[in-house]
Amino acid sequence: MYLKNIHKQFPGVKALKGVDFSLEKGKIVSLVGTNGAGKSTLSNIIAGIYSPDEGEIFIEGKKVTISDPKAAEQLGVGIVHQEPTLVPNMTVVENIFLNKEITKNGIVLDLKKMKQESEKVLEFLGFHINVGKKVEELTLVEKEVVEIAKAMLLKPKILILDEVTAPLNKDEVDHLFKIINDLKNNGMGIIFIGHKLQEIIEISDSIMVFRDGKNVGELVPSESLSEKEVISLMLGSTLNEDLITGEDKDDTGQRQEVLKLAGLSKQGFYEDINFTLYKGEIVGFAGLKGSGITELFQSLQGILSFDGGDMYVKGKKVKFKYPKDGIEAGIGMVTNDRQGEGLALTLDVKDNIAVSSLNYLRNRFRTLNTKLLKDNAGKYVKALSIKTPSINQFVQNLSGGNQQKIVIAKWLLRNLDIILVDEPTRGVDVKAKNEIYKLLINEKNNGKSLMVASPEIRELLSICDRILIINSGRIVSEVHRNAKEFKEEDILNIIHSSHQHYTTAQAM
Amino acid sequence: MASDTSSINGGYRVSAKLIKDNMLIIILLLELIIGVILSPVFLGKTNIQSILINTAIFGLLAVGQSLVMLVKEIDLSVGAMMAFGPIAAIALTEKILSGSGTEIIVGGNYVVDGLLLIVILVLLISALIGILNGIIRVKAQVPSLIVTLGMMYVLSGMSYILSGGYSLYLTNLEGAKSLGNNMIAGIPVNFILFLVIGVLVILVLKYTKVGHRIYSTGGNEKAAIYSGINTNFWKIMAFGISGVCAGAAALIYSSRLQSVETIQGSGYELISIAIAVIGGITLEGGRGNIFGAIIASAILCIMLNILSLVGLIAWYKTIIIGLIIIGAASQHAFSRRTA
Repeated sequence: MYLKNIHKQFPGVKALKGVDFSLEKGKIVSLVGTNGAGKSTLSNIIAGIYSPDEGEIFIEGKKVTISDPKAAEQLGVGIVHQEPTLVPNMTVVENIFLNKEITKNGIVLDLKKMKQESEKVLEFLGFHINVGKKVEELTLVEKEVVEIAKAMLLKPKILILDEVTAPLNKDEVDHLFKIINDLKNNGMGIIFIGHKLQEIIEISDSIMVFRDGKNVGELVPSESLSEKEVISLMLGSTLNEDLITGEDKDDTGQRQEVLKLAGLSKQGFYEDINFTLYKGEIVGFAGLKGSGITELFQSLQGILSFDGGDMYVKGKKVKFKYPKDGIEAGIGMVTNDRQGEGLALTLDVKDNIAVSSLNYLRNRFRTLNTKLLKDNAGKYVKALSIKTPSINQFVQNLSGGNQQKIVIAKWLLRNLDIILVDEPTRGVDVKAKNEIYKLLINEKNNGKSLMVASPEIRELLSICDRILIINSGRIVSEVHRNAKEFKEEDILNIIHSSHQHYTTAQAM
Repeated sequence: MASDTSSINGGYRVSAKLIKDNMLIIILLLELIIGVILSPVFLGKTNIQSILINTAIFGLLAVGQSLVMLVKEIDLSVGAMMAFGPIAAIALTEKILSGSGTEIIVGGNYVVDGLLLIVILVLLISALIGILNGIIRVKAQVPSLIVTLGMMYVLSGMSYILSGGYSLYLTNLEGAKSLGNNMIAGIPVNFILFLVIGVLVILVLKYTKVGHRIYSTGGNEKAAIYSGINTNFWKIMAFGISGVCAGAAALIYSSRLQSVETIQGSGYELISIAIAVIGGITLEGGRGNIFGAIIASAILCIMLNILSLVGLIAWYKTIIIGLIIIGAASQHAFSRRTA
């Protein structure tokens, strides 16, 4: 298979900018890159879910157009998606054969044959799952196996595996890799997408590195290839150093403690979190998707309850029942789902900024003081240089960066001491990014305490005084700004070393 | 492991599961027993026949509604369709046949001719309106609650305009009363027709690809699309079938009363949703089955019948329906969580 000069644009982003890609029979090619680098877009184009804006696709020397998933199937492409594509209320057989059903005479389903066939596929994969069970009753691992079985059913010539190892443990991964190698030896071409570099180096024949919608290089795994080399190619050499403004404050004894967590746990999300936040610092939280950071933040504001450990705000033990309790204790969270949780899209700028502070914007009749509200909204629009025609503009008409500033302004107006920011610059362009960084640092200098989570390590390096690394819900490492590990490579290294608990060198 | 420890405890668990799985049938049987105890008329031939006819009408609406709900949509227009279908069909038939000199309406509002054409047109018009609902839903991306609410108002308005608000009488239309009143071996024909349609839908959902399309469209639309299923098509289909079911229900209703009223069927859209919910179909889509909806329509009709027989005034009935809907939905949700 061969892809030439593939372009794909989504509203607001160029996801792929001229990608060439080739895959031979009996080879495993891995795609690596940071989130949003274009790996999944490329695989979705091959699977017929997106169609490219530009470029050509050849399979076995013939030029093809893959218009929909069914066409991809007929061309011999199977895909296991990153997100779950099973129907929970249907059985394993029904899911495996979804839209590929076998019938007896064109009408009546051949239930017996489908059952046998799915058992055969699962057996080949080395798993025994009751195929009459509903998918919602399966374990996470079993679901993943069913996803793979579904892709394997039509004996594809090309198999795309998009982050299939995430829910699997080491033994299961080993088992899966054995199967993948068998398939490869039978002549199947395999595209493997993953985040765990060690796995990728282990399984691949070649590694294709993506950055900003382009493939920036191809590496061939060997004894000498290290995860570091892959990471540095993923990131490129142009590290943005000029923004770094964080500082390390070692004199912890002098500082005022604002938030303390002692063994905070929430089953299934995070475990035994011990952490102290001081006045006037920005602490970064780094980890992969699903590492539990978002849930931890939610617990701190009272959106999610915690079920173990204690939480202290300014020395006082607290347990929040509602988000309101968190806000009253001085904690606000800037969510990573701006449009879903952070804003009322159909309200205007001033109302969105004021929404959490309405009790403080009342006149002597205890009703809303609209003038005060407008003045305050105007003040923050100006202070954060939010680009909007007026404070009466609907928020949904603003760009992502300006929307994000409004979410932040909401908490600034409420004058909270602790601000939790989950992905400060998701879907925000470069210029607005820098403005948001400045804004956060400015708040720190005003004596606020911030906790920032981000999938972009570079971002954390820019603004944070120290970074905590979370792996599967646990703090595995803490890196201070003056430490020699305060580098993207090292932090990524720690994050990507799966199932390995680092001894924490905590300086608290 | 559970089978190894089949002690008394295990046996208890099995019977608890048996009760949970057959809850609807147990309720139905209980109702029958209560009916027999409370009223001597309950088991009378005419009473049973009347229950069966009502079950056929509500059951048909509920089967259509259930299909729509399985694809995670809702159809509020079926009640209004029950009036509009026949009224529009008669008006259209008059237009068509008056060209050939046949008079089909005499004395202002007595329908006397054109039965076959009317029947065909009722089903056709209802199907087309259902399909239109579906097309607006998927093309304009408007929630079906809104689309079909709007359609409900449009249809009732048009029914009034076409009929002038007057009833149309079918007493002088030959053959018009057979569907609503004829019996085969003491069983209403319309009930037999309903059972045939119901069983057919159950079989099609279970033994053909159609079931997989419908359940996956409602259960996880993204997964269905990724598998290459045209989910929009199946949504439109579900609305179309719901329309046909409403048309068929209207035919039974009008044939039974031998008239077409401008307000007939009003409020039935909510009853059909109620039945579907009692039968275990959820608003989240992809869950529940048609068998449950059919049993539920019998449950509701028998209950309404018992309440009438014991002489409860209508408002108490509404309260009881409301409580049953809430109770049934909670019970289904609860048993799903503990499954």
